[in-house]
Amino acid sequence: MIGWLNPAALWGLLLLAGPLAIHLLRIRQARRVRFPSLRFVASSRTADVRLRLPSDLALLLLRMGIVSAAVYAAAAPVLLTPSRVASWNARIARAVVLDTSDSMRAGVAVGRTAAETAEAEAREAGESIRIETPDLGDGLRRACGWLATARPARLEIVVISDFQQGAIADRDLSRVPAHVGLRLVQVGEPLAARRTPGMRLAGGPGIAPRTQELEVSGRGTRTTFVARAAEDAGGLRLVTAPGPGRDAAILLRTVATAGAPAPDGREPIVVRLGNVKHEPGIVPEAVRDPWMLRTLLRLRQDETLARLTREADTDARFEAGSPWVTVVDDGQGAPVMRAAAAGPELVVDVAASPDSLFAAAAVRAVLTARHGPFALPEFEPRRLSAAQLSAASRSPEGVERGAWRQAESSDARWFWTAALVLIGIEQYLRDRRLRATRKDFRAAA
Amino acid sequence: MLDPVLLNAIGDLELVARVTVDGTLSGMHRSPFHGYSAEFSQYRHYRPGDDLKYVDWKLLARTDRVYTKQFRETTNLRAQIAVDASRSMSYRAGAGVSKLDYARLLAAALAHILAGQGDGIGLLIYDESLRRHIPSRTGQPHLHTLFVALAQMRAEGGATTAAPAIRRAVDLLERRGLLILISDLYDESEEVDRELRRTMRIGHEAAIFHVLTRDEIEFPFEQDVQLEDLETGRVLPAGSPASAQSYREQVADFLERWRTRCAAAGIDYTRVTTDTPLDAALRGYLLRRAERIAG
Repeated sequence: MIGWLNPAALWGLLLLAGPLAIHLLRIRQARRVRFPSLRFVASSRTADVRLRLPSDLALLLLRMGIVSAAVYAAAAPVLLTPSRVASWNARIARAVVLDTSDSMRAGVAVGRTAAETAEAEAREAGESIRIETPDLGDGLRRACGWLATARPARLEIVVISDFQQGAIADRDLSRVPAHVGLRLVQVGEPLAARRTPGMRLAGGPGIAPRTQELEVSGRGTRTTFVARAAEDAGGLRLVTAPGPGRDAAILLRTVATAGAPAPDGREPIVVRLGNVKHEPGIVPEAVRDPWMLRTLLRLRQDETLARLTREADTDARFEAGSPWVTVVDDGQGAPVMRAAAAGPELVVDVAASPDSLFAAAAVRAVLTARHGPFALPEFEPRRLSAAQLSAASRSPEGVERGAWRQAESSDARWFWTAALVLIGIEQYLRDRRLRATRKDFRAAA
Repeated sequence: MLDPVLLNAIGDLELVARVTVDGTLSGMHRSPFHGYSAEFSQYRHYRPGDDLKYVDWKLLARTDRVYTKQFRETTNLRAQIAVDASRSMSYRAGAGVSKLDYARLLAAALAHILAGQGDGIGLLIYDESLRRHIPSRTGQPHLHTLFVALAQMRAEGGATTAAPAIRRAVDLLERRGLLILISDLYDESEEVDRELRRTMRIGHEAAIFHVLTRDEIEFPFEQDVQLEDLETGRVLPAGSPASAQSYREQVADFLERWRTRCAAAGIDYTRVTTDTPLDAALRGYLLRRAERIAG
């Protein structure tokens, strides 16, 4: 079997028409000989037929052979001989994915470290790459991408990780092509339990701000709330219209009681409640800061807010339009909650009275959206079992049929050699004919 | 043997003629063209075309039969050499000489032989018409004039039209003489036949040198060629083995026709190819002629 690394060059075979046309053209211009009398010469039909056939068949075949060999050489042929396939199967290309997530730093290595293990695995392969990533799914994708361009060999991915529960998803494993071997090497020893600080919670009037203390073990997660010193509630400013039932303090206490992430003075937010149309110093502008955009995106995905829209004050609706971005509407297209930037602050207008449930939900949602999701997968103490890892592992298969496309070199040199040899023969034949012609001329002279 | 190519390369036609003749006549009688005595020889029945001045009127009165007197002439022979200079004569086969060059050498050699024994020689060059005529005379200056005319002869005319030339040459022979025709004889018309028969009927002697190249006989074109007729310019694709075979058969017929035609009329026919050594061609003709006269 033969493969072509540059098959587009095979279009060059159209050049074969060149020598063919030249030979046909030459014979159409048959040698003209002046002759004393044509009275005995019959125009033979065979001569007409021969006009359509190329002469100098040997030279024509040689020239077509030269063009063919050159075109084949340019197409970069790869001859798939059994010995070549065997040599490809004898070597292995290995992508070593090294887990650099927090869990790896927390684990206690026993024997060789993860880095030493990765080094050893890479060294044993004929061709290898070491991919360090905290995300094993991303690591597998990068490994597959590299193997797709590796020279022909058996392909294998070695993943070195502590493999805590959830570290690698079945979806990621299924993306690895079937012919690629997969080996999951577990390093380190499991920990009985781990402690870590959790989320900082917002305080309110009469409620001290708190911080979560988490202890994660094989039995479960224990959360302890630790009060911390009262601090300035910088990062969140509530603006309400004057009047009864408009007390922002009550709203803040409600939010703190329900539990919400503490605001951050580096990402200040202003929440205007009710139909507050004007406030000196606030000039709305388009949202551009990434943290603001992230916050808005999370807000728009908040299902609780959408569910509570009907609790909003029906008398208060905002007008849509730039630079305001609608966060939640009333189902008729009128914004119930909108947002815009005002200098370093993110201004969120909520069309609800401060004493309404929707207002409390809106403020909590804004704080939660700014903070983002709180997850600690790296603190998972449980690990995948050896049986699970073994089940997911597999040996690399032999070189697949299309592997020649990644061959490091083609066999073009043989075709170039053939072309040169044919050129030599063609030159020899032409010279011989030329010498014969010159001899005739000399004799005639 | 005198290679025509070498002779043609010498350029000096007089020298070539002398060398050729010396080689040809080596071992032969130095005067191969014997003349006729002017003494009365015999009577012969009158044949149409006979000159009336030789009719014996007294005998006619006595016997009422028409006889012409035949004489053994003592004067020298009168000869006319007619050379075909049509375009077809310009053909040369490979590195050989052209038919015209060969005819030139042949005519020069014949003229040299005739002049050497004091005979009168005339020259007539023709193609589709008479191109040049030099009356029959004797002497070295005249021979030199003939050589100059032969040297200037070019095959630049058209096709061969031999009949008027033959008639003119014969008419110029004031008494019985020798007509030597050198041509490729592609003109096979009825007129040519008639003029040749007339020549012999009048009582002249005629010799034809049929000059051809080897190519015209063997037709070596078995590959793709386009043949262009030298005289008409017509172009014909040829070169297949079948067409070559057909050509060879037709040429063989053509040559055979001329041979039989000449034999029937009593004309000496010599077919030569341009690679035939000149002395061999001449010697063959002279030996045949000597045998015929002796017989």
